[in-house]
Amino acid sequence: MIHTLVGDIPRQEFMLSGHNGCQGCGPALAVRHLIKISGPEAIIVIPASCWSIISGVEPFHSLKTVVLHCPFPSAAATGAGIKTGLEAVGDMRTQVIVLAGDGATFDIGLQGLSGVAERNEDIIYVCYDNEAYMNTGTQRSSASPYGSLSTTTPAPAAKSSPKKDIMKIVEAHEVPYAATANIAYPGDLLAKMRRAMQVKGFRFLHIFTPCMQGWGSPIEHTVKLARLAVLTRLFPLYEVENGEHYRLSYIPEEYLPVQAYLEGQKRFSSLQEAELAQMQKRIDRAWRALCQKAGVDPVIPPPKA
Amino acid sequence: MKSKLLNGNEAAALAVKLARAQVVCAYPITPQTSLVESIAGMCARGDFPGEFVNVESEYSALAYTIGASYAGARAFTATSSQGLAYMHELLHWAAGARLPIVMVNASRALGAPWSLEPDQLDSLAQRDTGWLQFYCADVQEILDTIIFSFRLVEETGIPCMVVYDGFVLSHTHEVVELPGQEQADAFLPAPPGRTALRTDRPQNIQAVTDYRYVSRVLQRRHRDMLKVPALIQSLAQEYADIFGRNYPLVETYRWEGAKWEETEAVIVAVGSAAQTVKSALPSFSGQGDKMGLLRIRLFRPLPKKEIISLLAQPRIKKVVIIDRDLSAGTGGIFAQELRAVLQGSPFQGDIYELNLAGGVDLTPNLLHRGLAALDRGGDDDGSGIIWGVDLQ
Amino acid sequence: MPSSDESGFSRHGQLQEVIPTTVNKTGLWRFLTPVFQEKVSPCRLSCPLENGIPLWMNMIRQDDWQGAWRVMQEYNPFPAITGYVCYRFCEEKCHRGLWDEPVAVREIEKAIGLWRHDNYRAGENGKSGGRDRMQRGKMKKVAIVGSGPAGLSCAYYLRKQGVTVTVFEKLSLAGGLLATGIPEYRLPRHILKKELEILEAEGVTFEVGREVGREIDLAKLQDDFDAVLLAVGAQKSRRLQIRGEELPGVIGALEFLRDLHLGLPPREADHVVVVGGGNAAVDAACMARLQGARVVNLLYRRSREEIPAHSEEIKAAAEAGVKFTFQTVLQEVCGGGCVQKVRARRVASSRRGEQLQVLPGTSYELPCDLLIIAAGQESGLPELASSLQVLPVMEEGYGEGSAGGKERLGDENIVLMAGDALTGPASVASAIFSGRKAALMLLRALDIYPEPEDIPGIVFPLQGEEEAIPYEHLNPVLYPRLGRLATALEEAGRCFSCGTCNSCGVCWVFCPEPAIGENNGKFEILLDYCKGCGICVTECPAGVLAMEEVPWHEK
Repeated sequence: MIHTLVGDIPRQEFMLSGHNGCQGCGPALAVRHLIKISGPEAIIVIPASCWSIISGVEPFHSLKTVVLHCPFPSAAATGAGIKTGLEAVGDMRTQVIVLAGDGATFDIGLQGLSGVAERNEDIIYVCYDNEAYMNTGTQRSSASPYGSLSTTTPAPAAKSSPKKDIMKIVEAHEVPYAATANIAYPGDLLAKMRRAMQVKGFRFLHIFTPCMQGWGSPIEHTVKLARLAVLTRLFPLYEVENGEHYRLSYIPEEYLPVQAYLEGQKRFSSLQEAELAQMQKRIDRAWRALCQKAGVDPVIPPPKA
Repeated sequence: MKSKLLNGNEAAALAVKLARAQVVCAYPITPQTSLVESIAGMCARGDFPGEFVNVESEYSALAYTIGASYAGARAFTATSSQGLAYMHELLHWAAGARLPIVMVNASRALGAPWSLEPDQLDSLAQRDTGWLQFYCADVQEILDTIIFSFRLVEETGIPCMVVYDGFVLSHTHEVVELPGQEQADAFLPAPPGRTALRTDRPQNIQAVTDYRYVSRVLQRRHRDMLKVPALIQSLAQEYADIFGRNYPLVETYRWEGAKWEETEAVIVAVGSAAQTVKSALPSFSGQGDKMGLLRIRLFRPLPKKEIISLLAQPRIKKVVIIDRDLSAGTGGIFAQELRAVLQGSPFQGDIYELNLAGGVDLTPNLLHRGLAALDRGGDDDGSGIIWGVDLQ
Repeated sequence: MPSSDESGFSRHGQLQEVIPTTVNKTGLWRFLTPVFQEKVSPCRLSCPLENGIPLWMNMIRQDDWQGAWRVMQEYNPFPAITGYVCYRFCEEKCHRGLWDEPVAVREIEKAIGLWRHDNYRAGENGKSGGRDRMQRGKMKKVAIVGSGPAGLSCAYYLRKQGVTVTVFEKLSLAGGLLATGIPEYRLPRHILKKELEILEAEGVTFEVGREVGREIDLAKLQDDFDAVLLAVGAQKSRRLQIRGEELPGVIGALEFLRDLHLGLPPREADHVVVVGGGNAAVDAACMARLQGARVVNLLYRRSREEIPAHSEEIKAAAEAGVKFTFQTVLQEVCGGGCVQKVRARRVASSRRGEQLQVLPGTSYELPCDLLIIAAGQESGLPELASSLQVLPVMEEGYGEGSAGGKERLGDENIVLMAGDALTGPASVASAIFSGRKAALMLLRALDIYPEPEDIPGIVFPLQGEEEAIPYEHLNPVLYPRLGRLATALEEAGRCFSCGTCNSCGVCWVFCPEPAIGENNGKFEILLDYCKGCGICVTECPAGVLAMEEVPWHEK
């Protein structure tokens, strides 16, 4: 049977064909699946991001749902305000979903995100992470990985700081539900969205959505790369409840070095051996720490000599 | 109706309550803080009809308010100075989205350096954001204007900023006539309820678009703004019928017994400064000048027609504009606006600027010295501005 | 445009009519187009009967046993039998074996066969042909000589098209090798019995104990029937041509097995020597052990690596206590009146087809009171052939433009061959395949399907030029590494369905447009919207999708 983390997707679509996403768009795929769960009655709040475009230029619209666009840093607070406003006018049911890119989440909107997380606002915050400002042509964000190139970290000055661990930041707010998901594992993604829909209070989904245009990879590799990010344990799939109950959604069966993921990505073309080793070390360390929190054996063999 | 001793912030808080605001979201900042505290206190006591949310910044406060307003809730926020500047991007957004939001701004100077003085540049710098702006002169007016504004924004879809001088009004107690809830309800219909965000059909609200749409939106906003003064006048009459107080767009004043038709010099003032002028005017009566006060209450949209009809009289030879703000390199903002209004009108007199930027306190003495300086030939630095700071 | 309400103010919250993006035909962005290109799976290519394994795996995956049987019988009408006896050529080549373990194809095949046995209802013949064909079929009579797997397979397919079929079997027991060659521990006889019962219930007539060429003249068959199929097998054991071979106590392997299965009194023997390395040799050795022989020595002339018997058989024999001796040939059979011992000698290591080199001075003796010779089998055909009015068509060839049409066979005196009689000793699966091919030829030759069109319910053989889809074209990563699973339903779900779309929906799942639609359970590319990213091609687990350049005007 196809992996259960992949299969069991509801047939009904709430995202329409003909949208403005680039060929092989990871964020488009993520949202296509997400809104199968949230359905047509949720309100989706989108700050400046790729989805500002994918959702359609006025008067076009690619989602069978209500979308409200808002300024770049304001999505979290706007979403929370909508929820409170809806309750004030007697609508206790409608879900509000913020759909923000990594720029709006890791960078410019971080304060607002922290605010709604701390206040435990009753919204779902979805961050689709393509690891740079892709809508504007690949400028680095604080979600860009160590060693990656972008138009603002051009060769030979690749990004020298590691990717911000947004999950840790959110987890530190002890929110009711936070989870990572990945377009290569849509079954898992949907399960997490279903869970998110059930939980009351602030819910956070961090979804890994590769952008082949920005990463310099063949467009047909969007899902493959997303999967490799999980298999190399670079982007582990897990969920956290109330900041303390960790559960790994998937434990890769074998140790796959990060090279497998980096290969063929032009953004890593300036990566040196030493930097690669550094990157691997960081992944292994983070994995061990995560496994410890989840109470599972990290099963990482000692690095080969 | 009963009388109560209230400061500006307390009056504002009570007005918000009387208006049955459903969502109040704010971030405390001096000198607005006690307003937020009052609402929080009422909420805690179960004495407030809506939800109060204390967020992590002014930016989020307005974003939150925008969200609540989108959802159809009657929404209110309040801020001051740096906080208002921090909201700037969202001020445009709220106006562009035609959201019926009411906001209080307790004026305070913008840094640097840090200052708590009642300079009005914070709100005047937001004049182009598309918000309505009222400048209040006393605590009673604060209360009335806030209740009034909720009706106004819901009829126009244009958000409104109610401005009053920090400390001078926000923290000064005055006897206020406190209306009853039934009076407020008689003026203000029930909140609009669910509006734009209906989930029964797909919508793509404020999606990216091109100039053809944007220019139409802007044109319509301008035309709608132009209709506001007339609407205010008719609503003001309605308000007066219920509450017994009628507020004009621009207020004129002469000492007792004097007629405006005999005025030959006019002092233009805004906010609490106008109160000082009012109290000082009788002292000028013996000096030959036939002086009057013109208080601009509505700044956006600027009631040009009313201003012209009051000032563009051949007998008026002199207009002195008091600004407690400065657009550095240009001068006071009210002065610039007034010059622009009078340009091309039958007004033949001279225009003078008395600038209190940085929050210089306007005392009758300072006003006397200012007018004297004006008689001596005006400025010392060739700027055409009589600096309040030089008169102290 | 925002409209104004009565107060003259344009308002927020005016509902805008949105235009669905489906009006944008983003297919115009496309440079390459994904297309469905099915390829042959390694299991099918390695299967002697070219079984469409992925197809029925897909049915089982969906718990559709009726459907699985329907597809199965188009390739193999006797999955219960092959489910027991087949050597699992498919599982050796199964790509899943490169990921974790091969799919348990034979077990699932057996399960389908047993399901069929449990769920058979009489009168299903003629379901595939249609009324006219059935009428045309009913007019024709075919005699099948030999009731082994080839004959039974041909009988099954002909009967399904309404043909009147009579099967002649010279022994008292129908089934050929299935009845008298394969040990019962490999094929429980109730399985065979059930298959024969089903064929009879479907209207196949069995003439058991009537040997064509002896009781019935072949020429008479040709007169009485519209066509004759000779599926007499290769049941005649070859002799070694050595001294002493004619002594009592020397017997061919097939005769040995046949006598056992016919219930003749078993030959008492303590020391048995079996010569040969084929499956028949190993089966006979095993059976000799089971009959009570203390020592069974199997002598094979080449090395362990070269032995043709299937490893499964060898393993079973070794477990039964058969002693294997390699690189050894028989020199002489010794004994007075009957076999007492044999003399053997060692030969140098050689590959099949190479000349044997006897190593001098290695001669030795083995005690032996029963010598079973399994040095190959011969067709029983030459004995029959003398009475044929026309020579049987030996060539294989089917389908359009091939030699198998009625042009070659002529209108009368149609005689065909099938099974081991035609191919030489092979497997049960290949005999079933041969019977299937014979049925195709006969249906054409008998004018039941005169046109070179696909005959419903019977799959044509491959062209012979096909290559199995390479492992690299698959995307196995979508399958969890689990090893074999307990139920057929779960186990069938492990099948990669190499080169065969099983509507797993992965293309649809991963399409970011979405530009993949579903039509009657099949997925299709919606060319209006497909931007040609190729994710579906990369992700397709079965390697069915490929990118193609498509001319602009066809976009």
